[in-house]
Amino acid sequence: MQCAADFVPDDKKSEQILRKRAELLAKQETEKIEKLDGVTFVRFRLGPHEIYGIPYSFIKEIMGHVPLTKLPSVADFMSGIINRRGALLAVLDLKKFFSFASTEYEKNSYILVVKNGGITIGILADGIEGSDTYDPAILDAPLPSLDAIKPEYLLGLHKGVTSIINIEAIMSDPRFLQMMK
Amino acid sequence: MALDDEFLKQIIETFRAELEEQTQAITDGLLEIEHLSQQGQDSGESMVRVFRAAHNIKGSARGIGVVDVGEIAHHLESLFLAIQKKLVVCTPEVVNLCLEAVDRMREAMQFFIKEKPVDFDLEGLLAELEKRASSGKVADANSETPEAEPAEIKTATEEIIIEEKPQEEEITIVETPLPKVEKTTAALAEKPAETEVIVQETLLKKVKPEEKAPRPESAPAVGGAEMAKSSEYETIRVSLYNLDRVSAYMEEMQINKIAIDDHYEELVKLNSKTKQFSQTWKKNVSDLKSFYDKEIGENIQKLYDSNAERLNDITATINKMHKTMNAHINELTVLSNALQEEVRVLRLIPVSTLLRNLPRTVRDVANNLGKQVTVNIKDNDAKIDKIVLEGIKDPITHLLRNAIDHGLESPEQRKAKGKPEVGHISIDVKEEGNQVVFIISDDGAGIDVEKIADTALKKNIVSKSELESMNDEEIMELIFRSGFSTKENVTDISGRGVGMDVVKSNLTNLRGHVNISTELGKGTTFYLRVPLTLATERGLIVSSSGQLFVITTSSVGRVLLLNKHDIIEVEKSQAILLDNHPVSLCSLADILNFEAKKNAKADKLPVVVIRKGQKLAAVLVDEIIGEREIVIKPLQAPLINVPCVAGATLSGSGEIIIVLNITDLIDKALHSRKNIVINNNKTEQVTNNKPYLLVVDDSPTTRAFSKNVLTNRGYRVAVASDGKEAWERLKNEKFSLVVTDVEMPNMNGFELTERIKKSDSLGKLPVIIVTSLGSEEHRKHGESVGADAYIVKSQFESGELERLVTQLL
Repeated sequence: MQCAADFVPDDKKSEQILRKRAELLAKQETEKIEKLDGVTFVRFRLGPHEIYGIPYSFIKEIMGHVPLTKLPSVADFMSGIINRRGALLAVLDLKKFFSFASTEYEKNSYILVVKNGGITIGILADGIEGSDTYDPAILDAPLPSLDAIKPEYLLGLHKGVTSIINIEAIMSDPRFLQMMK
Repeated sequence: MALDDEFLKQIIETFRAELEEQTQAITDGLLEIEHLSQQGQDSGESMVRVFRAAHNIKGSARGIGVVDVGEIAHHLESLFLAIQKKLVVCTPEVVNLCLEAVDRMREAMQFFIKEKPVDFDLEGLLAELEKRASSGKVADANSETPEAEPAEIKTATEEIIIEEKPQEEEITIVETPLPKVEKTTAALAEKPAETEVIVQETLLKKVKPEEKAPRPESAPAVGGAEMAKSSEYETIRVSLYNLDRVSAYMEEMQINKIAIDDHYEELVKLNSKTKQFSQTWKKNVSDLKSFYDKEIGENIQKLYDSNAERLNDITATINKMHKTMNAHINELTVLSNALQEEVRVLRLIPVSTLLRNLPRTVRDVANNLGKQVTVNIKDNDAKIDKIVLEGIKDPITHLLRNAIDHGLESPEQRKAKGKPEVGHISIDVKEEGNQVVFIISDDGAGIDVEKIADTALKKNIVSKSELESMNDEEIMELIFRSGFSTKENVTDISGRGVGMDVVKSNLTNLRGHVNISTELGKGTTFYLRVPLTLATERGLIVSSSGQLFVITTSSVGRVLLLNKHDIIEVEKSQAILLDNHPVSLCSLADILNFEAKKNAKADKLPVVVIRKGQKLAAVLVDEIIGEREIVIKPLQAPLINVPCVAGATLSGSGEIIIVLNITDLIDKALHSRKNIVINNNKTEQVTNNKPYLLVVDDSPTTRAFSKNVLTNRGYRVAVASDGKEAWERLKNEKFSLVVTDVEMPNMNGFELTERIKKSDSLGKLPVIIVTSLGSEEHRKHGESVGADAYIVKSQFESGELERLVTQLL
């Protein structure tokens, strides 16, 4: 019996050619988007007014409200774990991570599933406000007064309203890395 | 060049597997040769086999550039040739040297993989091998090394071709495999694709029956049996990664299946609800009709008829759905269970892979101790999960060493007892349902129960009173306690004092257990029972702080429903008595630092006694929900190391239930200082009827002892560790009697007694002074400060303390 796998060339040479071709295709696509359109990001809300952005290249999925399971003796900014299609996903509370004054979430909160450097986490959000695109070259410097978020956690301010979050900085923060020891 | 690296890795891996097989063949052969020559029989055929194995290793090792292994193999080969030609006698020393060389080859391979130079004396070993090999040369000038004589190479280049029929081995001569392997390396540098083909060809050759060459000589079946067995079935290699994926999907499917089961339950309920509704509906309509006259009644009937019809339709549909779903669900259950079983079995490997190394171990240990031992292994083709097999390796090895060292007597002793001089050990493996039993028996001296009891007593493993209440079986179990070792002079073979307790804890980790049966003078048998696999576990589901948790059933010692007065106080923390031993009690919410749920109705306290090895702790929970099969999922990064959490499992509805880490939990429970607050006046009233005693002693042992004695008598007992602490307690609580030691820091017993007797409020409180000093002077001092009674510690056991307390109250 023949099956799909039979049509896949199995000699090394063809495989190499195909791989190179695939890599080439994949590369051009992303570069083009960044050059022509800047970086697209998802806009989300923490608290009643503040808008934040995370580039779509980090976003795996946006989930509606899922019940959280608390874990004992973990950092307070880890709100717990959720069941994401059979896998246990750790959920980060940015309000606590940034030390906001109020850390309550709205009833119908969302979870942004974010992946960076092989680690996938969820990030709680009060609301999803849509998408936008920023040009990395012309982001404003983050406001120093902004609810005391350390500037290194932000890439910059988009159009004076949206703080673009530096996911890499958050996920390599000492407090974050501490958990993996 | 990534591909080439990958290919190199592959070929090295292939060689590693081959080395494993060939060194095992040499080991088996050497042991056989030794055995045969001891009985004065000819070992020529085994010799041919070990020689061939060494030669094969040499060829392959040199081919892929594992020079050190190649060198050792080369020297071994020369030595084997010399033995074969009867130039060198195969003494136990020679066998020892060869076995060492075999071990070194394996080690050298490890170093090669790690890309490090070997850390042992390779030159020395090679020189030793060469010396042995050439020791016969003087006697026979005609002898030559295999490298020098082309004819020898020919016999050396035989390859084993396995026929389909098991138990038979064929040998064929392949023209020049040695140069071919070299060609492989040469080609390796340039054309990886081509070399792979060659390698595949050579690999294929081993199993392709068509390529059989006429057999030049028929080798005996003995050593070849194992290799032949592997070709009994057609097999393919599947990577562990793929297997893991299959198991993971299987788990996912199981979870969904459980969810479907839950939905089906709902459907069953809906079905009976609609049936009931339909019936009451009909009844109501006819009742309604009876209220009105015929004409209106008819109209009502008409009005409701269409509804009734629809209702019937719905009921029928639901009923049909229920019935067909029932059939499918049953089918699904059967299939998914069968599939799960198959997936589980996929991961099992034959126990023979472990057992084949044991004769060597037995031989080495026996030689070391100057004992003669035969070993008989029956694996009954049992298969077991790799993890379990790896886990049971050490316990089995240890029990074997123990059997040879402690179990089997010396040849002289055996002779004197009329037993055969050669001791016998048998290892039997049996599958029993979901378990595999390893039965290890020796025909040695057996275990002397009284000797065990003596040793345990001497080493303070048990107290005399504990011992008296134990039966022989329980006493036998004492050898698994840590710190136990019966033989007076500790040898380096066994008896390092960390033996048997490790056996037990290893087995407990594998969710297995060990039993002993022994007959004095006849021998001892150990039964090691382990589960076939660790993939699924049973877990006890409990709730605390409004969340569900799982405690793996294997670590649950007992589940209790306690009354509040069952909680006692030992060393200022709470405990419960389990078989008269205090076990620390702590609430799960406190251990996890979760907010405890205010539970007013709690009349009975649900407590789970958890255990890990010898450690026990009692954990108070809000509710015990039940037990079920669980699949533990590990937490993922970044939450790798969460204290007290071993992972999580998903309920049928996808809810996460945290699986608790028992080791952490016990540690925390034992160090917790938080006491459970029981805010119930009722218990106060109940317990108030009992006299409340204060025991003051700086020795924790005496404290615990006095407390135990008095608690058993039905008194409530509080403790303090010195006079000062006791005085503080006396000021705040109401006691009926004080038992105090004399020598204590901060405030001694005399001072305490004096204070009590001089106090207005406490002056009438009876005080018993306890001391190890039985002198008249002390008694007088005691009386002078106003003590009501005086007791010497040595009188404790006679019941004097209880008598005095009863008298004074």
